[in-house]
Amino acid sequence: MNNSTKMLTAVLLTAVICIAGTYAVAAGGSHQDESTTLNVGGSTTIQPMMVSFQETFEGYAKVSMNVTSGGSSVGANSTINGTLDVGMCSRDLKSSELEQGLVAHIIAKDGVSVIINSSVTGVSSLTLEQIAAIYSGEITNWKDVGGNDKEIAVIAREDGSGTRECFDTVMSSTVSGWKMKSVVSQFASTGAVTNAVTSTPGAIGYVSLGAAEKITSGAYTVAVDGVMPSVETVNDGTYEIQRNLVLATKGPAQGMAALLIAWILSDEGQKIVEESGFIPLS
Amino acid sequence: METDSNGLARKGRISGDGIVRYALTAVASVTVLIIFFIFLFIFLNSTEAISSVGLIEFLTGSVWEPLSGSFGAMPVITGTVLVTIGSIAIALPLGLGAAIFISEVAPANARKVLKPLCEVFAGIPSVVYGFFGLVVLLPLLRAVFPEQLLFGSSWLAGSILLGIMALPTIISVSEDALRAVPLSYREASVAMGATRWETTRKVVVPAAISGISAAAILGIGRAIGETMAVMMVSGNAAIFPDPLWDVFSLVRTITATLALEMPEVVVGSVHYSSLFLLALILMVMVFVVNYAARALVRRTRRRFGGEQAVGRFSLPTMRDVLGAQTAARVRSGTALTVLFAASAMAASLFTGPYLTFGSAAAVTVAAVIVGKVARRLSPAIRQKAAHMSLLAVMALVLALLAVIIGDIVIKGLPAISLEFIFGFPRDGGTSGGIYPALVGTLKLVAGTALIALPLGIASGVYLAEYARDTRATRIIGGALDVLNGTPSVVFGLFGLVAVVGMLLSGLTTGYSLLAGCITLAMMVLPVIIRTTEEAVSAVPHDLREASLAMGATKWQTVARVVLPAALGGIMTGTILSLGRAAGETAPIMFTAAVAFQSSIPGSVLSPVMALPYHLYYLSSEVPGSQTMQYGTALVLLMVVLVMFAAASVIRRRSEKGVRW
Amino acid sequence: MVTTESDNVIEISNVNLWYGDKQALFDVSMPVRRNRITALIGPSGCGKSTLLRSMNRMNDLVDGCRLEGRMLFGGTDIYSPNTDVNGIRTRIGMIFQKPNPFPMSIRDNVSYGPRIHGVEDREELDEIVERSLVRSALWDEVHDRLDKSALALSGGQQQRLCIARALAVSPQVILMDEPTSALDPMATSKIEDLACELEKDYTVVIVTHNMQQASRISDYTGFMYLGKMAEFGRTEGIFNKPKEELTERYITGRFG
Repeated sequence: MNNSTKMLTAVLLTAVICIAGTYAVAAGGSHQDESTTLNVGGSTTIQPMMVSFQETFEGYAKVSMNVTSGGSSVGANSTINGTLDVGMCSRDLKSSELEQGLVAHIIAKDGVSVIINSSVTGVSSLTLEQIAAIYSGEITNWKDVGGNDKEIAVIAREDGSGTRECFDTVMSSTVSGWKMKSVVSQFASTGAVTNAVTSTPGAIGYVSLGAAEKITSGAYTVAVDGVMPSVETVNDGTYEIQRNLVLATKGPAQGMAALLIAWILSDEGQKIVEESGFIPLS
Repeated sequence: METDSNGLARKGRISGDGIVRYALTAVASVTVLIIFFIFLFIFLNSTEAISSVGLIEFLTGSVWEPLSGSFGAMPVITGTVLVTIGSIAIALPLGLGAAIFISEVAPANARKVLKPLCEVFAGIPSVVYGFFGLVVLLPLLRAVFPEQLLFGSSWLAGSILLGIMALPTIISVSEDALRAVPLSYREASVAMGATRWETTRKVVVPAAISGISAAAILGIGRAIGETMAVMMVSGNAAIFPDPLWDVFSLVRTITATLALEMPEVVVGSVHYSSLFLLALILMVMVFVVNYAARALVRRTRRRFGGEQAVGRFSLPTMRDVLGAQTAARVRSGTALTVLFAASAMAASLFTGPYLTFGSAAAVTVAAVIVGKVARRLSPAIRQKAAHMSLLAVMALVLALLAVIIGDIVIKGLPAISLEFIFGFPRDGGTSGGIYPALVGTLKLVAGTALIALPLGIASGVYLAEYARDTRATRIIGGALDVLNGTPSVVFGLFGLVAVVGMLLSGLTTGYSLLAGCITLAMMVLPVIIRTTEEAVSAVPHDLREASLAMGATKWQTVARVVLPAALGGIMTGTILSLGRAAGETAPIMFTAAVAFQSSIPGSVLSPVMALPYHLYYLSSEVPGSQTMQYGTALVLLMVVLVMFAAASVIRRRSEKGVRW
Repeated sequence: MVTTESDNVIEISNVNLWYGDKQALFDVSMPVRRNRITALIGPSGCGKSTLLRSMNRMNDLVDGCRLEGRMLFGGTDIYSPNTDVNGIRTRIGMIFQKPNPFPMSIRDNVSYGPRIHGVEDREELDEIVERSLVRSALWDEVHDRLDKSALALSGGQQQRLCIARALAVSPQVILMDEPTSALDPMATSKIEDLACELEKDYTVVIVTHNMQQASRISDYTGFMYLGKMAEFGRTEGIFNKPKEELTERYITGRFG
């Protein structure tokens, strides 16, 4: 055999050995016992908070957690088919998901703040009807709601986002037949919306309460129907744009998953909820 | 061991050759199977939508509001078409110009630096491009066009960003094609008194047209399939621009729709299925583009090379029908009409009808005058002008690179410290280090290379050397090109369902490094195969003949003469694809990546942190972490650059003395 | 003149060849005598290169090429399906019109052949390299830069390198396809001298469109026209007293 054929054989042989070895090692030796690994995944909104949980919980329960993302629905589906132990959903579970055996555990609430770019002056509060009108296209200039003469740049989350769903639901219940207008710039994450609103003159958008509180410049939060979003106003219901944050398990929570959820619902866990910018359950 | 009358001992070379042929066929078949399964996956998942919504309804409906039950894909399809056209309009001239500059105009020393420099573009992850788009491009556009741009995010922004992202592919692959044109062609032309520029324009570029079109196809594929960056800067409103050429309008592409809606859609629903139908439509579009481009190449070959028309049906060229002079006049007439229309469209976005018509007319007249004047000029002056323009193009490309890299470096450098690189993340990623992400990315790249390189290079060699040019091989080639244009988010989903959910489910539940590597490997396979195939085909035939005439077997010829000569081009494909693998988010988001780990996992069946994913995670949901984000981007960039540098050195070594 | 069968290294009998539907060789017969130089001459397109390339089955590389008839090499049928084509090509080497050295060093070019036939020993390879380069009259010019790139040589040197490369596998026959048409007169005469030298140990068949070259160096000449062997015989006979009128017209230049 000449050099090249030798090399080819060597490469192929090495590859085969590597693959076989991987399988052997994986199947036999150091595979993490299922009982000490916890796969959690889903909503990107909840993910940072879950990571904060992870930092404490792993040591506390001697468990190895894997926190992945992919979105609320991916979280729910992967929990249904067993890829995940716990799914994170920034919305209530859908009936189809409940039918497939998922059980919901509410761990926190979230308020959705409405933010406006700092170039807009004279607007510190908006009514739900006004917000609905802005988003449906009836109102197109800030001067029509008491602000300066500037065209309104409407920004929203993508179709299907938990945040958007929450917002749309509130809008629909305020104005019957409400529909968001089409010339709206849509973004895929809290960070992106925040970024867009803080840098686009005349922009309006909505993000999770915790994220809005962290904005230092470029945009500000408006009161809705005279109520500013906060832990209190979400808990007592006076701030109207809010949603549940849910953890889903297949069937009732068991083992490590049950331990995690119980811990999150404890004082220690709920403290982290608050630190993460969400609303602890009262 | 038999010896023949000449006393030369001959070991069993024959059976070796047969084995190699079988091995290569087997590998190529595995690749074909993978391609087939991906197509099957997408197709099966889209049938629900076809039956519930109806294909015509879907394609022609103009309202995309899935939550209210409207599945009209026309605005989204239009968005993809418009953004892609825009990006190619930017990337092709710039890329080709830069490639010609590097290959034909630049002095040899400069060339050694320029080509790797352009490849650095390919190492910048799409998330970082999206970033750059958000933070630098959009404000810039808003400052330049305050009247026209309400949002900043727009079709224009999307096209510019995608154009920049497609640049490295077009530049690198075109440059390879240009360099592969034999010296004898150039010599022949210059010996007749033609200037270097005329030689470039009339001999070298046409001779390299196959490779250039491959570059364009790969570039278009890159642009069509790009998800993250375009999603961040094009506004994502599923509307038709009004008027249709309003580049300042918000648009939404198919890929953005997939990325935005897939994570939140209910599996098995009509919405879910319709997203796959969108992916299918996208792949059909890529197929059409590729087919058209290849047909164009065949026609150009006929015009310049006088080859017999291949295939039963071929349209006569304009020249055949009208005669050379009339054809030339028609061509310039068409060009002027297009110029007029384009100027009118552009102007209409800024002013009223009279000024629009006036400025368009002015531009067209100016073009005619310039054309006439240019023809009078001597070839030497024309060459000077051409070379100056190419230099300007190159300078622009380099300036772009400098701005993007500069932005990352300036904002990321403050974050870099030993603790940042070797420490673990703390406080949800807002402080501490990114060590596990760094290790994870390195492992992902290594694993992807291990899987994709042998498969891809072997398949490419097989297609170029062993497979005959039958229908089957052409279909495979077409399928590869389509796969190249498939959005990364589709690969992610395929990975989730097929790799995590089925292939590896027996070994482990949940995400794993292995799943990520397999998925990434499938994503980059088409590029590696295609560039290998092109590189091997470009090796001159007489080298093969010389080897065979000495009694070498086919495999010996391939291994000892052809492959070494093709190594340069193969390296290019490797560089481009591994760079992409290192920076992609969507494929690993659904298969391998986690947001936080307190220790480095030992097994390939555990998930990993990864730099692009970490960046995405920080930028999406962790406000106030800007410096960390840029620091992560900078580290990722460094990793990719080191990879590129190593591959570049290998390529340079193999190219010594290979200018035939 | 009496020749015995064993004097013919290659025996070509009634060979017809098609490229797809187009026939390129019509009932061609010709002997190739051992240790002699046989030239093939004729106008462009007469089939001389085709005939040459069919002797070492290089035409196999062309899709749709088909050959009928018999070609024997030392008694073996070259075109039999059992024949090892690589073995044939080892024993029947070829020099091409355009020098085609590999983009490697001079040493690697010449040692390529022995390497692929299994010779690994460094010393043995060096010896073969030296021997071949001496034989092809190139050693003196390159012996001090064997590891430099072959592409740096002049055209004539490259062609001699290709000859050395072919010699390194110890063929019995060397086929030359217009080997000097790309070279200047100095280089051409060097190659012609070389061919005459090689005649002692090898059999040479040379295709050339240069009649003076054919008459200078060859012992036998075959004149081909439109795919047929118009006349074959000893060179002096062909050039001084051609039997066919066609041959005479070509030789004296009254053609076309």
